[in-house]
Amino acid sequence: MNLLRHDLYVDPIKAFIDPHEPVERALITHAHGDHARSGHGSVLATPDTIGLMKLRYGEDGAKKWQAVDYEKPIHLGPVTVTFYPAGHILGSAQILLETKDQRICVSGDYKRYPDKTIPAFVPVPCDIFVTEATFGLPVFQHPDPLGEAMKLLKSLQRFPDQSHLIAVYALGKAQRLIGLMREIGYTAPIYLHGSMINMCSYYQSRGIDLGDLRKATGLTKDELKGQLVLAPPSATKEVWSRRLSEPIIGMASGWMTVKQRIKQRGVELPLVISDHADWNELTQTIRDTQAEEIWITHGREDALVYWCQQQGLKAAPLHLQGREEEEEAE
Amino acid sequence: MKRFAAFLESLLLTPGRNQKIGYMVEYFRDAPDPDRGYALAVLTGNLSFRQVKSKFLKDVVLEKVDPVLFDMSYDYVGDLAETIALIWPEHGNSNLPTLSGLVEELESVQPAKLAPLIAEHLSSATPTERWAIVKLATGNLRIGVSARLAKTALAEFGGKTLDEIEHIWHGLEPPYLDLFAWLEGRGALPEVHRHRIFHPMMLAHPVDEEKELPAMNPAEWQAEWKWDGIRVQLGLGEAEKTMFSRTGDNIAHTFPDLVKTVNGSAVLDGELLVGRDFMPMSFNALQQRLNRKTVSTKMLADYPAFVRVYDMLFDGDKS
Repeated sequence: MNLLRHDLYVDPIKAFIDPHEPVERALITHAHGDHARSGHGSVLATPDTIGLMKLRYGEDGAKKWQAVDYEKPIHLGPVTVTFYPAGHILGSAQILLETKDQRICVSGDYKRYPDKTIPAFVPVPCDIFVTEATFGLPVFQHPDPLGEAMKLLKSLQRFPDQSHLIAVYALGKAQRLIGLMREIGYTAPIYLHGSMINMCSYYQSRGIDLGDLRKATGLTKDELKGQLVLAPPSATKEVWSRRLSEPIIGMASGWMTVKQRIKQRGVELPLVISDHADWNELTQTIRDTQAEEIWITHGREDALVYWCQQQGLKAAPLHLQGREEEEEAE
Repeated sequence: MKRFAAFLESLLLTPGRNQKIGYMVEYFRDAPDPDRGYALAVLTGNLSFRQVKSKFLKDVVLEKVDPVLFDMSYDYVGDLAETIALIWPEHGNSNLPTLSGLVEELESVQPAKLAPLIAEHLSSATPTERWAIVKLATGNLRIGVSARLAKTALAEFGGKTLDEIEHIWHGLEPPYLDLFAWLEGRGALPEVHRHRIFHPMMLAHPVDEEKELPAMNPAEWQAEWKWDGIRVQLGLGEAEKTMFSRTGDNIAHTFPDLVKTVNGSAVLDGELLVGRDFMPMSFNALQQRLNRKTVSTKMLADYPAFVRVYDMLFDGDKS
């Protein structure tokens, strides 16, 4: 008998990992909506995951919150639970479940490319590794994120009379892109869609320097001319974007790898910046964990299952309910 | 190659017609000869390398990539050039040849050395450059730019009209040095043989029966039946024949049966039709023969082509 079921239920401690429905006891890998839901009895997560969940759901988003720092094992009956950095967004963690017989690591979402806004991914040796596979095809090989940020900087310099409206997810990607732009020397104010302000303030309150951030709402077309404006992907298509005059529409996402998709989305300035592991990171991480059995939670699992089998590893897709696919999966 | 790849990508990602024209004008202005001429040939579908077919490129990739993973990736991406560009596992940082350098290599390389040459370039390139290399090598662009739009940009670049470009277009050859010299005011209008010139046609349009018809004097007019075919212009020369559609595309290769039977030195204006013993069949029947790369014997037998001539624009060199 495994310590963990295929629906990510940890039987000996009666807890689910990232459950889709409200449960008595939940272990949460990170604060994105498809992993962290409200209404659980108790939530065990990193302090930042809890901080971000409270920001979204309020203090009563769960009956009881229990924060645990990275790499501080806690003993729950026969099971030792340890959270390790996953490098996905602020607070994101892999969860290691350990008994004297078995080590299982659930990755949540992760990446290994540098991200100065958060602690770096730590490979965790284990028997069973439960991995995501959002970009589980060998066509996904993400470029250097600084190079992508340079593309945005060059476009801002080349078209100084146009606004640049970049679609980014409000939690994680927005702050990472801001961090990258600051790193390459962009010091001008960056303007935000209303839905991003809370998340950015949270990052700043945790000591992450994002520079001069301002609200885009209420400003005139002229005031936003030549400026960098960030908004969630939905807002770039809506009325909201009409407040900008002839904006250059960009998007920062791993999906921006595929040109036909970029075109379908009407994106002119694609920035391949991903908070998920690409094909090489997925396969390298599987090797690093030395696990002999791989479970794949969501994404393009077929190719990764095939690759694992080619390496002589046991592999199975989990088909979890409620994980967001495609564009919304960041 | 870097500039050309970025140029192709901009054309693909820009939705607006005017912006696409803007990118092309900018490229024609900034890129050197003969790069810009080869780029123009790529955009207008006038450059192809017989040796490089999709199947050949796929085999080059399968030397380095698992075939099952390749197929899964191709299913997802849906475009062969892009799948190859993205899945290529080696990432060097060496220099790529210029666009014209690559064109010359692909034209002159010995068949046995072609695969290693392409593999070497793919390993030296970024994903977008790889995508451009594959697009260039296979000639299958699919970037939302028609030959006509490219010529429109050319006209804008040189301050000419589209008709002026269309007029000489079929007499020109890549890399179009004489064309660019003329467009930049550094050279004379390129000279081309009469039968290779497209003469823009006056198309038929309806007459207002109440207002215009009474004012028309029958003695000044000649009536022609309006055939339900497509308007064409046949250019007959000693060594070569052309058949232009009304948009100036040379479609002679699609109608070998017809082209074989007309000889001499002239430019004829008429209607292309299909049917046995010069009895026109429906437009639908004619459509069976349009836009085909190869024409089967059965096609030739079922839908033989002929032209109803309206006018002789040139008899020899006399107009």
